[in-house]
Amino acid sequence: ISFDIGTEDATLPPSSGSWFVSDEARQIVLVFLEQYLTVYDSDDRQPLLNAYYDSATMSLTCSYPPGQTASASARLDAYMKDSRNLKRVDDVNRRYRLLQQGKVDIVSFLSKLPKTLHDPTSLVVDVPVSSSHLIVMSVTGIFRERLERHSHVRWFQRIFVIIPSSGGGFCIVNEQIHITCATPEQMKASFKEPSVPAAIPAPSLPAALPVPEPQTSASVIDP
Amino acid sequence: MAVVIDKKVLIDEACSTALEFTKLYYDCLDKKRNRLCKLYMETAVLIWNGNSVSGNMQIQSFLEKLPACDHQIVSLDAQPIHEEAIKGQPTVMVVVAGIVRFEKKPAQPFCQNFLITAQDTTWKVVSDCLRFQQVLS
Repeated sequence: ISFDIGTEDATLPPSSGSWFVSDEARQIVLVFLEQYLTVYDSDDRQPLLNAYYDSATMSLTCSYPPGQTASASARLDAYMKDSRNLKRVDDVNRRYRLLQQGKVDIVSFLSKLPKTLHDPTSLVVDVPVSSSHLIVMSVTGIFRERLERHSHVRWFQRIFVIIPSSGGGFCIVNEQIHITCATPEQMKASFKEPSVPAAIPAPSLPAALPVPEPQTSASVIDP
Repeated sequence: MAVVIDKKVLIDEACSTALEFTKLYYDCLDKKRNRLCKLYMETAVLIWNGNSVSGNMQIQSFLEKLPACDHQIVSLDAQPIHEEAIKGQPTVMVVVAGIVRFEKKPAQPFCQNFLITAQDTTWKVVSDCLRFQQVLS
């Protein structure tokens, strides 16, 4: 004999794609991301210097899915030593050092990370805040490390806070990247389109990709 | 020199704030959802796997309808938002990765980020974005 308190069959709301607080923010953010990731995926990340505010800050974390032992090929060694995971890094000075400060340090840091190719169809962009003085964007998606022998597939979350720059475009003041191993399901679904190196045709960010007018360009790369 | 020290203090405070905030936040979400509205600004925005909700009461009511859950935080990071972007209102970006278990469902990896800002003497969530690690169909 048991008690009947009824069964609460609560289900999870279905997930949906990118969400933008306004059309204007959508337009700015998609142009920004396309330009940023095109350079990021190229062999030379130095031009990203133009995307950052002089005293911007940036940090990285990485983690393995709990309970999942990473196979040798999935190891996150390339990122682990720089991971600013506050659950593990207790020392105040180390926390300070692991925060990249200033655009020169940031781009030099980014230049040392493995070369990448992002899967444009995997990108999901959320923009919860957009005002006259800042835009907050959160991007998740899949990238592949462009190594000669192995091709590791990663899932990432990347948050950018951008502000209007004096040159008329936007620049990054804060950034955080989190990197983890892609799930087998994600690996299977990724890079279905023929890959074009160093280019983001962005089929999933599509209809929306506006061609910016020269004067009002949201350009971050060539302000 | 003073400027460097101030910056270091600011960065350190952002870390402590993030540790304290996430402890409180996930405890509320897992056990005391009726208090969640107090953590959000009245005009806060939640984007939960692409579903957007605005307003602290609406956000609480959205989260209260989720099945019972249990969060395990694997990674946490935080930075003070640059003063150029916030005009003197202390604001911290908090970035979390972990797994969540909903009733009878397998563990689900997720990433979540918050902007929290100082409103008078308390920290309030301005924005909250969550994404499961999943393939969107």
